[in-house]
Amino acid sequence: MTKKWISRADVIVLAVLLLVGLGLWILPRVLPQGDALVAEVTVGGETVLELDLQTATARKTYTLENGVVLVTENHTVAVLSADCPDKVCVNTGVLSRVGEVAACVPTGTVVTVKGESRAILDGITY
Amino acid sequence: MKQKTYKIALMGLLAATAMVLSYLESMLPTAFLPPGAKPGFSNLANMFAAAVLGLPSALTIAVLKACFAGLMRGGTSFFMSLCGGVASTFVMWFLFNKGKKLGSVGIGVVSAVSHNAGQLAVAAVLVGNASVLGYAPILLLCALIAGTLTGLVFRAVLPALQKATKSFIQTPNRKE
Repeated sequence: MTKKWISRADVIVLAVLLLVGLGLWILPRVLPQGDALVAEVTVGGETVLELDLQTATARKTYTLENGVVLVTENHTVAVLSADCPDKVCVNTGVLSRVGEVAACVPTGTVVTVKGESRAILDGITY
Repeated sequence: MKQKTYKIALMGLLAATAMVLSYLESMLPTAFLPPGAKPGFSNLANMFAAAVLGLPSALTIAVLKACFAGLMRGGTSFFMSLCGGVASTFVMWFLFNKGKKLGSVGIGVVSAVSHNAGQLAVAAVLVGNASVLGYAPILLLCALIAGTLTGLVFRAVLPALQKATKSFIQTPNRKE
């Protein structure tokens, strides 16, 4: 155990992990991801529901068999309520971007926003 | 023989400390934290055990903590806490005893990251869907802050802890 409060190695580890974390966090936000198309809902790994987000404008709720309540509104999806102690899925909030996830581990429910993988450019010639 | 008894008593104290810290932490408002992120104060007890008592004792405390989480919040919390705790305890023990390059801040950060990695892995298995890894970037950033804080607090309380536990362990830094 070192006597110093923070060592050079500590700073390097912090800096590297910070860069990795910021990169992973920022990249999906700056790269074009295409429009959010569907919210895929899986329970225990099996797809039980696919919600079309493009046509979802008015507020509509869906109740799954395991008691998880989803709401779609204005091309977004969110978990409204779930029968679990920690409420991670509800606190995740509104999902609008492709790749965003809300997971409820106790009920085995995962909501993933999927979209078309639209190319940034129409084509590249060399 | 007597030495062993003292050590078991100290492990009990540390496990109790970990449980109280995780209970107090659960009473904090989490509105300002991203979903699934926690400060992880109870890892202070694991860190001290990993640094001073050795791997078996530190793992025992991680398992006891998981049992406590299971009693308080159900089976899912047990598995999440167990995998996160065991993963981070191995990492802490290795860094304290074999690596010796990192200070307490670095060890706090790396063990917080491995705690989250273990939890995400078990979460992906439990829900049968790898998309939960989408939580990884925000959890990684939170682990950096939480791990730094834990490491600084650990560095601050270490002298006092060593003094307080001197009567339990004859030689500080004693390894198994």
